[in-house]
Amino acid sequence: MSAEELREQLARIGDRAPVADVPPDTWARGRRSLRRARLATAGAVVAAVTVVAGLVAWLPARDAEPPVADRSSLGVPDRIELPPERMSDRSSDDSWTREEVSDDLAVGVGAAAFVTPFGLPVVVDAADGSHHLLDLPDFAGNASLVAHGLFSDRLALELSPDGTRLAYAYAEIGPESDSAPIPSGVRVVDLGDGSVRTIPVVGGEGVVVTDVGWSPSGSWLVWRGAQLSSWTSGSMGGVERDVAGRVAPGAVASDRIRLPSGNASVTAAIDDRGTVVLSGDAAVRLVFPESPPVGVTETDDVIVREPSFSVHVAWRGPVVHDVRLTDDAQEHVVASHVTSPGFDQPMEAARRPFPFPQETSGRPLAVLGWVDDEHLLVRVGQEGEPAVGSLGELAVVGPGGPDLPGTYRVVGELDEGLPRLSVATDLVTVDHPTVERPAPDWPWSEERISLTIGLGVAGALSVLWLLRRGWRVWLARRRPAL
Amino acid sequence: MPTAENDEDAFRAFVVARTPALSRTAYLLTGDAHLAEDLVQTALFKAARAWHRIDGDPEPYVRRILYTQNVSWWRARRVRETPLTGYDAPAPVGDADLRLTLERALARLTVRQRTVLVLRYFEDLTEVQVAHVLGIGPGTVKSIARQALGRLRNVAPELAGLVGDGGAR
Repeated sequence: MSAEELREQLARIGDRAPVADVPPDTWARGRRSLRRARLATAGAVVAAVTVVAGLVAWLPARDAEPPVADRSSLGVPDRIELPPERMSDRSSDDSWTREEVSDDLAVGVGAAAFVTPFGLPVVVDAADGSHHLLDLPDFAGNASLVAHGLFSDRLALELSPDGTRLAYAYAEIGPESDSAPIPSGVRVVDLGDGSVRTIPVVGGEGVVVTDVGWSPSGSWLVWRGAQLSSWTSGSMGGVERDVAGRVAPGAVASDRIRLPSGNASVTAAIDDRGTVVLSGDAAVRLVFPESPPVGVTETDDVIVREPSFSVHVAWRGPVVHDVRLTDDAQEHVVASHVTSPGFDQPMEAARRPFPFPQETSGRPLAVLGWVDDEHLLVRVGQEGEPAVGSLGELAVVGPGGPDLPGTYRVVGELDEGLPRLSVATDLVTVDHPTVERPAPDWPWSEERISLTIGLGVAGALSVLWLLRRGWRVWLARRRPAL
Repeated sequence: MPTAENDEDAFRAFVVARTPALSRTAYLLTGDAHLAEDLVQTALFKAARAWHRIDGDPEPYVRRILYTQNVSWWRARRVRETPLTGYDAPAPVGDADLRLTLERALARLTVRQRTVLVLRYFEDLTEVQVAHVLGIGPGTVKSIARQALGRLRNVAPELAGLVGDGGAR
């Protein structure tokens, strides 16, 4: 038999084959599948282009030099960010592990400073807006116990008004800490040359300095803190008493000053002659220096008759501007305590309303400092939010009046969760409150690096897949019909 | 000018007209009615997807899918396939019907052998065309065809006359 006979037998077998049942929706399913494939192709192209474009856009940016600003362009950035949590990573001995945390303290003029919730000090550069993560020598927050303990969000870190110096709370916690008081107090860093001045504060088992105030020219310091009855490397005991003191220009010792008693809260400020004002909810006390030598002479306390408490106090020339909030938290007033040349004369107090503009109504607010005699720099949060860590708006406010709406200008944005902030107020003016700076360039997290590599590989595979598909289509079109 | 509606009508007309012939080829390729139906459905589904790209008669395109899809399925399945017991043993003697004998013998071929045989002797493709469709060399097609015919002779000696001593001519 021949091939012809084989073909005939095969045809006989084929003739017995049942005719396949072709579903009536075959055409519709085929077209839907085609549309899905086209969408997937478009998606793959977009993903590949996005990845490639992202890498192209990112690579030069990594190499770009930060903008260089001369001194005249120093300013407070219009955006201040909280570093990612991984920047505060520590080793088992509490030391900072990230290479971005530097012990080179000569960072130049600072515009703002804060301590992260994990105890890491940050100084925001006034020249380029970069965020310097600083390993300050013996900063109290360097110890996890202190950073996360009783004073977790209250450790002093304060820029001088011109931003050239940084005062902070220090505590030398070491092997002797379990058997002897912990040496502690205030240190001052010159951000120009990185030098550090130590001002010890002695008392109890150590003193945690919680607040520091600079005089307008940055020459004097006033501090407040808590003297502890028990403090070791492994535990912090109760507060023995609240203490305060002042530091003369260049001094390495502190004069103690007495806090007015019977006050739930006290704010403090010092002028360029060393005069301290301590403003509480029950009394305001002025503490004058004697010169020479520097000593302490106190006036009688001025009893505060209006039920109110001080939220911010500052010297404006010879006048104390005391921003107070009435007891019902409805009205801000500025009490101008005029100092008298003679110590024995009673302090005169003038009270004027400082009605904050409507935009702040019902919103949490913290005063950062005076911009001029009529304008305050404030942090404002959203209505109904708790004040701590939610004050995301940096604004300049001026008082309104019966016929004036007041001033409310949002001049900057603060990261959610940004703790207590110190601002170099000399760099802020009503006309130029903040400056535009690039966002900090944080190193990528491991997750982000992995995701980028994954997307890059996916993009590359998509491109390869498209090329292969294109090649096969091209081959199919070239193939002769059977 | 072709429209989507025209394309769909043309596809449906093609399905009605050519499904029986495609079913025959599919059955010969697979030797199983269910697999044959799956094969035809898959080929037509792929044809519907690519209908806009088919220039001229769609049948060669659909048949090419039929052939290659069958080989693809075999490649996907072959790792799970177990060798046939008594692969080259003769089929039971006594089946006088040549067609049934051939059908049983075809079932003893490998998919590649069976496909080459069907393409060469049922679809009447040249060795070069078979090689092109299956993506293998013409020499390989010749070799597989020879092996297939030899195996048919082994499993069904009574087909010797049908497939010849050295292969069908």
